[in-house]
Amino acid sequence: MVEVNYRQVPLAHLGLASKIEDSLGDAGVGMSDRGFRAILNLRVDLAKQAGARESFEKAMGFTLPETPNTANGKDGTEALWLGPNEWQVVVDDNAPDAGTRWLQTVRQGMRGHFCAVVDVSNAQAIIGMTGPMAREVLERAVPLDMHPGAFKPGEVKQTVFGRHCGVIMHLRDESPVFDLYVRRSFAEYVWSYTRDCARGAQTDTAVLAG
Amino acid sequence: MLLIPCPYCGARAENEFGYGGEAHKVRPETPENLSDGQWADYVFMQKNTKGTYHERWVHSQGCRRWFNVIRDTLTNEIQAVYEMGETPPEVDTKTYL
Amino acid sequence: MAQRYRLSKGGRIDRDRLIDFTYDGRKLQGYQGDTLASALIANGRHLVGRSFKYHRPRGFLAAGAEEPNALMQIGTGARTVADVKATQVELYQGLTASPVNAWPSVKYDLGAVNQAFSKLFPSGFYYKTFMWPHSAWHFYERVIRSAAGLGKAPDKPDPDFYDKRYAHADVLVAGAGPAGLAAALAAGRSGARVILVDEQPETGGSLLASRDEIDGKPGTSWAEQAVAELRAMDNVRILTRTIAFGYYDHNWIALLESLTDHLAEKPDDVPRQRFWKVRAKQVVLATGAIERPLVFRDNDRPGIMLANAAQSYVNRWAVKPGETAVLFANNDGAYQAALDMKAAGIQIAAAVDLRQDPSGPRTEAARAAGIDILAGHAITETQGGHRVNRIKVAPMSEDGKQLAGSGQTLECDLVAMSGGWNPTVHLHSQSRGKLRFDSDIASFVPDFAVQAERSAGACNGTFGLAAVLAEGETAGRAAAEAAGFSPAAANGHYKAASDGFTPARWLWLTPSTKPVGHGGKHFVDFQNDVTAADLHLALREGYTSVEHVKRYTTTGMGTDQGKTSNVNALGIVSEYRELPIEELGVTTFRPPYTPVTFGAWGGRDVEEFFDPTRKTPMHSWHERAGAAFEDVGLWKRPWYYPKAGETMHDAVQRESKAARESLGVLDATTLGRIDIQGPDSGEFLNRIYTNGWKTLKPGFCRYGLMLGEDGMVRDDGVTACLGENHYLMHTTTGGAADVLAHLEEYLQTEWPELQVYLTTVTEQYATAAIAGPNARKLLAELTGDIDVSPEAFPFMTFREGHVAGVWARVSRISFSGELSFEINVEAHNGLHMWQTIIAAGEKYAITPYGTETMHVLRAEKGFIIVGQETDGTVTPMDLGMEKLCSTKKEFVGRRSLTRPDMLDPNRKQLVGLLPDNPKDILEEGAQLVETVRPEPPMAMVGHVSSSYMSPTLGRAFALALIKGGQHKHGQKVYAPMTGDKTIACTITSPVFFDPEGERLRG
Repeated sequence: MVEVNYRQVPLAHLGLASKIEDSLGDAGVGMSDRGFRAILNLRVDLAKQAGARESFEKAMGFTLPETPNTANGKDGTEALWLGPNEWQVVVDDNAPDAGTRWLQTVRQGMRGHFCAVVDVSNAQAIIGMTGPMAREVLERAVPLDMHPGAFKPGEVKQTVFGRHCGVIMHLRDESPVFDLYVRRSFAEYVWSYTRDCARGAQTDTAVLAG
Repeated sequence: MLLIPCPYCGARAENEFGYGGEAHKVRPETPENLSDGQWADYVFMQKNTKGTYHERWVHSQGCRRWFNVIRDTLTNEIQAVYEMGETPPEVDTKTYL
Repeated sequence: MAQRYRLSKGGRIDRDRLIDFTYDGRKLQGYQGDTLASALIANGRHLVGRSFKYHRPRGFLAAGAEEPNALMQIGTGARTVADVKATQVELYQGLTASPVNAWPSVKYDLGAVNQAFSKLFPSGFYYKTFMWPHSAWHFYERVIRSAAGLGKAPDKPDPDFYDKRYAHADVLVAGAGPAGLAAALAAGRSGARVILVDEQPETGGSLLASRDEIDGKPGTSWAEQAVAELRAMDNVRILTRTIAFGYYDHNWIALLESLTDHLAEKPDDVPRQRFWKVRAKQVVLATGAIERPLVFRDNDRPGIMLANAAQSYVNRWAVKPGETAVLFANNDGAYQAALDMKAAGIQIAAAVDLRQDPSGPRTEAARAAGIDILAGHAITETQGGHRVNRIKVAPMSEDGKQLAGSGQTLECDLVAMSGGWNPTVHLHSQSRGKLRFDSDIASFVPDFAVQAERSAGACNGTFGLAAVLAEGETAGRAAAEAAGFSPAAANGHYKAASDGFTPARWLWLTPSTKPVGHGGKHFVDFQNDVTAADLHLALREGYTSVEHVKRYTTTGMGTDQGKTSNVNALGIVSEYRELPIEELGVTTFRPPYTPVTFGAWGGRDVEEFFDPTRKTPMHSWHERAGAAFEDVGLWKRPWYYPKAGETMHDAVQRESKAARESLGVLDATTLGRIDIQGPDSGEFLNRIYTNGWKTLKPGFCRYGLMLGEDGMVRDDGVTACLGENHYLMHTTTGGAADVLAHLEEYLQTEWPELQVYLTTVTEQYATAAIAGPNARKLLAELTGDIDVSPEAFPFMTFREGHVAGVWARVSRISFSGELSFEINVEAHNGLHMWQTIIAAGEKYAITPYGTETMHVLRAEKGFIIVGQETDGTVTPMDLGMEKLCSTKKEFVGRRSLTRPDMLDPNRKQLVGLLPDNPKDILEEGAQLVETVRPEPPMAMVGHVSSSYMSPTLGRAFALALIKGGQHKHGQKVYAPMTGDKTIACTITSPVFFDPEGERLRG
């Protein structure tokens, strides 16, 4: 049977596509829906599973980041450190079967090691955030120190967003560009909450392309 | 709000963590060999020390790892953190009346 | 005449900006830069309130946050605020204010009759009088509250919004007076991230009210220069109109910033207030000091104020708090107030000095300026109704305990008093820092810090401008260094006056012509109307500890928190008990330092953000279908789908019938899902669940019951075996996060040897449960690659294939008791699947049903819901599920099941209930009795846990937990309801429908 693409991103019902601006304008914060990506959760104890590092590198072309709170990657494929034996592998591949395919790739590559690779591509929404006020606005939602000296490009931090909603924050560059990964059922909460934080910071938000 | 040094992620605000009570309470291997009193002691009783206390926390909104904390429960000073299974480090034991 | 008491020049006010305001119904004027207090004084208004208990006329005691008397109701309508100190309100065009504690008006206050009966209001009065009869308290309370006039709350929703944010700093400096500015400069220059906060609209602190010089220029100019330098630093954030009100664990400091309270027009895009939650590596407290009143007879008349307040009104706001003043002091520093008042044209009738031999630089300057000093004298009496107009003074004996000789009368309309200074140690004390009594200044000063903080300047007991600046600078440098920065060498010494406020003489209680309590009142706590006699009474009645004295007399309580009263109260207690103050200890300082609005505490986490709401991929469809939603955990779940004109009851009856007779569909996306893999997964499940798992083969599902170690049911759900050593566990909707945490806890802390990994996949899937006799037919139409025949797809198995054109995992499980399939697809495809099912099901009149119908259907089958039939005190045996508890293996909670109280046959057990009248729907939570009495108490034997009207059964039914219920089937119980109604019921089995399960297996 041919798989038909009926997919909807978690924020689909907000109709963001029609609200996209070309640039930030006067807005202090730009927000975007990053759309579909392949996302895998990987659990493996690199210290105990001899050769697992190499297996991953062979399969994906880069090494798993072992420094806490960092990411590593190559060509649109990256791994975010989530814990001492846990990573989130993200591939910028929006094909409907991307999650399944990359799951197979990583599973195959890690065969023989005690590990768990799970497809969670549908479980998260990815919200992009940028703009000169992005850090100030986020300091209203998360208890982390968002100062450029404290949250640097390439870093990944998990924390609590608003009231008891988990978030994975990945700072891609110093401009700043953030990727926020939140569980899909919380996506609208995070989106609206951020806009309210911007109001509290006395700035506007603009919807930007993913 | 406490600032808790997660042994994996670094110092983070308390609202990222969950509390797990007294540390180093080992679950009995064969509970059926315990008297009712001994079992109740394991399930329900905690030392709840005023002063230096070994306790467990979990970084629930972070790396999701459990770890041990030595905390002075009167002042909230965190004297040490260490991983599950590790031997507790030596600290200055604080006691109060 | 308008602003008759305004000085012709000086002050930090803008004379070009005249401001109209209304006070107690009168239209008055002030200037931009005024506080409500200074503007009232400019207009000669000193009577600004009535006291709390006796309704005595009261005026301004202070000029800042410590003001206990001038409590105002500010504004009207939705924005009205009660109990605001007039000294903290910035004047704005159109401001309206009235005193909170007077009725009908401050001049003709009916409550003043209380004064005549003041003997009836001793300490502990409320405790003694209103505690009997007990039941009358609610009546007394209402009368007391209206008489005490605590202001009015707005009766409309708050029109403003509030911002709340976290912030991080290397160095937080609280207070932007001379010490705070010097500290911020030193820390800021080192590159440290500094947050400098001050409650005032402008920085400068005490410098704003003084004529002292720094480095040869006015202190205010120095402050302006310092702030300009700080503003130029990227690493420094200056917050004015911001008060650091709470100091919590691990250097967590709460600030309240006011953004629009001082504005006439409230912009709708600016939050009214901003609540800051600051984590600071280091803190410098530079919070200054509060002047201490003197405790003398009738020291509360309007026109009797702190010397520093009088000085501030003159210097900072250019208003005259009186025409003829008497200084009443025990220290040298207070004479500067007299000098400043004199310079402003206020006549100084005399300086009454408690010291036998007044000396010191300011005293000498006053003497040189021709001020008449009455050494060793006390004010023994004050007169004046709405304003002091006369005082009597007399010499004292050498020990200051009594009067020695006759006195004289002085005419005056202002008494400026100074009993010394109390360092503002509130934040230090809140941080758990210890205090010690410093006998040089007769007050408490920080002893040692517990957290990473240091005090500088007056709050550290350091007085004298030069020393204050130097200490601020040192503290700022030390804080920056401790935070990891390297401050440059000191910038040289600040040149300023070096004298503090001593020499001084400490007399806690000023003698008068009659003993304390036998003539006039010696007020200690102005806000709570506590006198020296009240303290003595409490001590005589045996309340000797300071904490008890505080509570019994209420001294130091309320919004005031003892800012002006605490040390005087301690001094008086100490004298009475003949114990040194240091041995008495000091009462605890609690946050907040000044009141904080509920709006600020709530921040943005109100209304739509009160809690996060979680929505399924099908949510938009449910909304379009007009569903009513129910909160389950954080999820919004469709509760029922009313059609036009339908009540909830109608909708649920229709939905239940549809599922039993043809086809229903439920959004079951919200169930928790945990992926479990690894070689020890089966063993892990065996230990976690009560039943056995090792025999479960791939493709099969099993129901599991999870207990806590206490043996109580904690969660339940169906787990599928996806492959070898690979399982998918389903948890209850509300329990998902807790269950994952519970499992991780065991894996990480108890059984680290088990090779198992858990991954939450709750949100990876969207689930539609189709239920009803036509479920199989519909599924067959939607799939091409799953054989749905009963033989190929038996109950409690799952199949993977395609449904509605997308990948799906279909489980044949049933929570409704009907033939049912749960169709799981990837969440992105959830809405598509749902819409496809709805469209294809039309020919079966497919009916979407919500959680209420789900409850009816499952309850008819006697299926429990964890959290409804269980409440943390229910065991598997209580539910009749002992067969699910394996006897062949150990599992979490097993040992507890054999504890004696778990085996008690009289435990509450799950049963069914049928009301005798089939139309009586029991209330969930209703208590059940076996014997009905005319009125309570009645022995309760259980409670109703679930109750519904069933269209299938054609009657109401319920599930209940009843003591020994499993052996009481057929017996009667009664649910006494409000009114005279009692519902009689018969106990039955909890399974009402299809007990053999033919439908769900068919």
